[in-house]
Amino acid sequence: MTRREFLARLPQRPDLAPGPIPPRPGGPPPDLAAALLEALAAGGCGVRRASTAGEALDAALVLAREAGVTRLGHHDLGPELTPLLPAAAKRVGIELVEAGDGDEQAVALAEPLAAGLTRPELAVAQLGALVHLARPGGGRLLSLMPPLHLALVHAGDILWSLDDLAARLDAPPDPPVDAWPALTLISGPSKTGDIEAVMVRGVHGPGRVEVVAWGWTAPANPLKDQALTGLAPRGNLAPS
Amino acid sequence: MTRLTPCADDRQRQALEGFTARLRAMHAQGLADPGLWDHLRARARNAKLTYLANPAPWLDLLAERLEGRGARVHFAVDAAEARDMVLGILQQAGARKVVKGKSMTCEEIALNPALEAAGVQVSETDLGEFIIQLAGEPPFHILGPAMHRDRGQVADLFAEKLGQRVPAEPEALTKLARATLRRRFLEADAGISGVNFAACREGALAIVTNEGNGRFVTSLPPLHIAVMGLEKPLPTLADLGATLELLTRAAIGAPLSTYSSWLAAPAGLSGAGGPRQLHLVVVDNGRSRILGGKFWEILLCLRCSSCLNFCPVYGLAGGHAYGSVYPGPMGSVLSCLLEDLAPGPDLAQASTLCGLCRQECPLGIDLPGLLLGLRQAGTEAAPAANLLPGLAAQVLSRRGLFDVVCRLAPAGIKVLEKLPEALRPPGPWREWRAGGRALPNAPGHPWLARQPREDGHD
Amino acid sequence: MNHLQPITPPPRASLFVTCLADALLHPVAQACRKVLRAQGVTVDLPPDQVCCGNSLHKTGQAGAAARVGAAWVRAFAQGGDIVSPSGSCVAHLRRNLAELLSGQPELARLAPQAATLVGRTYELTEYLQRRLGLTRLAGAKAPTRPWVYHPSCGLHRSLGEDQAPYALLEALPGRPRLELPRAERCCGFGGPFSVSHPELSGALLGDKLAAAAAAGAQVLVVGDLGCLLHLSTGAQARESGMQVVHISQVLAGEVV
Repeated sequence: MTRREFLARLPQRPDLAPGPIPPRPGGPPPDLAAALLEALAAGGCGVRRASTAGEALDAALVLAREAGVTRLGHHDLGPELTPLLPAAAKRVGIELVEAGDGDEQAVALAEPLAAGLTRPELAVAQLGALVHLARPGGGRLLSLMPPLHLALVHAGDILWSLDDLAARLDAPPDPPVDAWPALTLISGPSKTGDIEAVMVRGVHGPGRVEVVAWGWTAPANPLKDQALTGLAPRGNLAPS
Repeated sequence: MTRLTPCADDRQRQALEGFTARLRAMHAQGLADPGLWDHLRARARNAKLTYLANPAPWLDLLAERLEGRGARVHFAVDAAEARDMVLGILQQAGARKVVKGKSMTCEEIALNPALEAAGVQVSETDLGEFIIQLAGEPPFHILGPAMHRDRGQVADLFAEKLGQRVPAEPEALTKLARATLRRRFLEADAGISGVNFAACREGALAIVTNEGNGRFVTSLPPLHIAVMGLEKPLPTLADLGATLELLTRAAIGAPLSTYSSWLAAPAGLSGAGGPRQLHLVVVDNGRSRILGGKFWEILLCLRCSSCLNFCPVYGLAGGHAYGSVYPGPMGSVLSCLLEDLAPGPDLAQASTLCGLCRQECPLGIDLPGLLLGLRQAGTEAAPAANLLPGLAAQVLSRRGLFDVVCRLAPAGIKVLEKLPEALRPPGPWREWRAGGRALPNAPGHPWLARQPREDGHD
Repeated sequence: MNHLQPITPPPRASLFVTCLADALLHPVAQACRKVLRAQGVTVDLPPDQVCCGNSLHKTGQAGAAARVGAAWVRAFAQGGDIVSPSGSCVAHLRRNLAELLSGQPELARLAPQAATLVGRTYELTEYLQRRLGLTRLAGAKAPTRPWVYHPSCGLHRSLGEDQAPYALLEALPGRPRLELPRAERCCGFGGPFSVSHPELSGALLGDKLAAAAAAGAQVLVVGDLGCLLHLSTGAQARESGMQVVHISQVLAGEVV
């Protein structure tokens, strides 16, 4: 049926009227990064905090090395991290493989990797979600295919609520919604309870997600590289 | 018509009780903050009512937005047209290997058999759907389609159908499924998914999973087809976010599913990694008729499964007994209203109308009221069945007749009890005893007959 | 307010015993009148009453239910407050009666009168706790043997009275109430369901009796009349020894 014919068949129900909406309790706390990490931890992610981009990168790479990773996939991590990456990887003896979204070889490159390192463009603190926008050089594939996902989040990219996300997607200077073809919200490791309601991680997506947030208005002694809360990692790690 | 009965398989019934108990506990957690719950409920309800009050312009806007970015939107009036459209899109693209996300709408339109008959290989990728596809069974529960199968059975199934024997432990079985399906994701020509909700103003489709199969299905193959019931869209992206949160809190007590994909265009067209073709098939299959009538409220359903998990009838009968894609209270209503879904048992009667479903439904849908409405529609359509109720109405509205029946009752019950089973006339007394109850003691007179009318006249 | 002001005329109420109590469950009718009188209420019994039409309505028979409802209106046309031991009946009257009458051409003129009557119709615990403002009732006492309370769906959900029964039971002198596991789960009666789906109805019955037994109870107090009939005849058939009574009987001090 054509669109016109189909739409012409749809009734109207003017009697269905919306009602009042009580306000949502609670509001954004002063430290969005702390709220984000707490919510992500509740969703099953390992979480850490760093003061600078360099410290965050080092923390992530140390995690990778401890997990036995020798080849690490990454994408365009942005101007704060990209210059630091080669030296940081060399320090821990990890080989880098670039596999950003849109690259013809990206899937083939990402498939055998044991870990992917990404920089989500945004995050939503209230519900604990990392946001990857689909764009050339983006990190969606790397956040999905390898069994270990390492994510670096800059405090300035953290929004409070989904309403804020919807508004941000609509507004310049970031690409307005007409320019983002897709996005993914990630709130924890892949999981299922489909067999006997026993929870198993790493069904299709990564079984382990480690998030390091950097950049905060630090008090006298920042919690350098200290895990705030984090569940013991599980999942399938095949060192490559 | 047959009637719903308790699931005969004790192990399955126990598994169902354990599974639904877990979900009930998660649901209670999701509702723990009443202020948040009231807020989200009101937002979601308003969003749905705004759309359903006048869906045509909103749906038109959604189609405009998506097609403006290179997607294609198709409109199917019924299940047959929807199947033909999906097949047509696949054939035009030369796609023969399909990976599929979990979609109740696709099951409703019986998509898989049609594709397979045309030589298309379809792989379900949600672990539970993968298991029941191998077993050739319908889903047992909306969220846990294979929850009725234990680990030993799944291990045997995998050994038989995949040719690999792994230990009968959930972790090992999941690992095998992951590896198998990973290959299929990489080889697939097309991905087919459902749609949880859509945002009309921005033109975006939302697909959520906890496993990640939804992400693979919608981003790896070069072609993605999304199948969506016409009641799913919401006005804006902000509405979509709030409704997703409500759905997830009601279903599993968490603010969000592990993964949410919001799709506004074929991502591959802009070099962003993703399909180069995105097709949306919008399905009516009776929904527009429902919207125009007295049962419109069922279109608010978010498919969270709360009503199933709290329903005493579903908890005893299990998903297969309903003979329909949609089980439980919401399924009992929807199955009687959508096209081609005539379930075997008389589902509108299979309820005590206890109201727990309405209480726990995140949108407060009056499911007992809808079931009662279906019962009324049923009696209106079958006037011959009204003789006995007509007689009952006479007795129950005339004091004199009622008195007589009360006085005759003890003799009547004695006769019934003395008659051998085979000679006993059909009537509610048979079913009363079949439920494990004694026939009541009839005093032989109504209480009121022996009372003075008013106090002070004892 | 926990007692009646002596200068106020004592309240009057018309008792709607229900067809079930009138035909089969006499102790409930007896207990209702007793507990109302014990609180100083003058009780009258409109002689033409039979039924409100609830069970016919639940089978989908709108016309038949309307005719029975019309007879109910005529039976209770005189008088003030109307009190009934059945939450499901009162819920039906409140939700459905006016609409049912309006739907039948020859009965539609009764709808306004029906609405007025229903506006002063109460379920028993609702009447005692909210209308009279009482919590500790004269003459009420808890069962002496271990007991639980099943919060009947018709009273607690259909009528929405989730507080009054518990408040009145908490205030009883004597043995406190035990917790009933999964109390909110339906007993399986459901009106016509009890005979249209005997296997499911019987299974839920068995589960409810088992839950009461698991809590250590010997007395199962229920909030509505269908539950009472269903569970008591079920306990009888299973020779379970569980005594099943209605809340009115406990509030009247009749359960030992």
